[in-house]
Amino acid sequence: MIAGSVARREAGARVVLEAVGVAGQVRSLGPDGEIAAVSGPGASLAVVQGIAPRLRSLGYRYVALDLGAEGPMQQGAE
Amino acid sequence: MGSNEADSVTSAVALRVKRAALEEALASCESVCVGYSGGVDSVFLAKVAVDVLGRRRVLAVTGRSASYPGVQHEMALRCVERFGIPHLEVETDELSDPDYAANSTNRCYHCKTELWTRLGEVARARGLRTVVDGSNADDAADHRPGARAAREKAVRSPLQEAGLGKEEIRALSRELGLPTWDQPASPCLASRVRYGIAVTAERLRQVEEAETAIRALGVREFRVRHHGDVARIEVAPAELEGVVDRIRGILPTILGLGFEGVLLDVEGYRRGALNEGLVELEVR
Repeated sequence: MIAGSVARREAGARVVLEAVGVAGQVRSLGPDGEIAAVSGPGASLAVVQGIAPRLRSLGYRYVALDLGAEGPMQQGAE
Repeated sequence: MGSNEADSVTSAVALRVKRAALEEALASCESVCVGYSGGVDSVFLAKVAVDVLGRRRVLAVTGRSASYPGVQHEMALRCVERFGIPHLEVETDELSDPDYAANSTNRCYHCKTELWTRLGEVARARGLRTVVDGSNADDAADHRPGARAAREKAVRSPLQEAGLGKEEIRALSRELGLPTWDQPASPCLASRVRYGIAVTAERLRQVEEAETAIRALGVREFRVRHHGDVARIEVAPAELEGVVDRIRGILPTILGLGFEGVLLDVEGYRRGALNEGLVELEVR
């Protein structure tokens, strides 16, 4: 996936989150940015399950709760 | 008789018919070398093979390598001891095959080619007429390049020939008192590594140790999917509720294995999730 499409998908994902009142963030993780990793206040399992179909419709193959991270994570490849 | 009762009788009869078909298929093999992983299907197949053919005409063979889960090895040994199934272990070395390690969507083909070649050698050396595997009737629906390797090596699939699906095998396993009857499916560890990311002994170790930590929490059906820098955990939908905080409690353990992030898939475990939207991927 190219970087531009990752940015577009993340922008679309932010709109989805805002629409359900979640003040969180979405990162595109995995070698091709195929995972929408959602974190932040209000991003509960039930809430993210509810918006998963919309996130998948943006092109993400998987939708996940981001439970924790250390250091920088790889984003969509150029 | 109500319609539910009638359905129940019909399915019970169908199960008996399939069980008889399995016995006929095994009898026609004359003697068998069973590809034996210790999973639901191969334990059932090996047990019925011994019942039908007798111990002297059956050998269950386990191919051991870095991709074989230790927890399944323990179950494999437990079952052969308990049910008197003749057993042999052979080392397989699929990781040294660049075509396998590259982890294309045909990975299983290369692994199974190695496995069935080794079992064919064992069968010839022991005078066993037929090599059989535990593929079942449901397996035909999934992406299974390993099945091509089995066909090329003339491996028979008696469970599939009899039309037995997974739930039916579980029901028959329960009748036989096999401890595997309700065991979650547990394919090789390489199946957790996203296509296109090379399979290495280190990545297999990361997956196995992360799964061991999660299993210790009491979670039964799940997978740790390896996406390179991050682990994406799939837990069966029925177990998802309440698992978030428990997995957060072992984050240091999982991160300590070398993952830079830990993700919980909100849609939960589904068989063959890495096969979703399959495309041929470049090896990284």
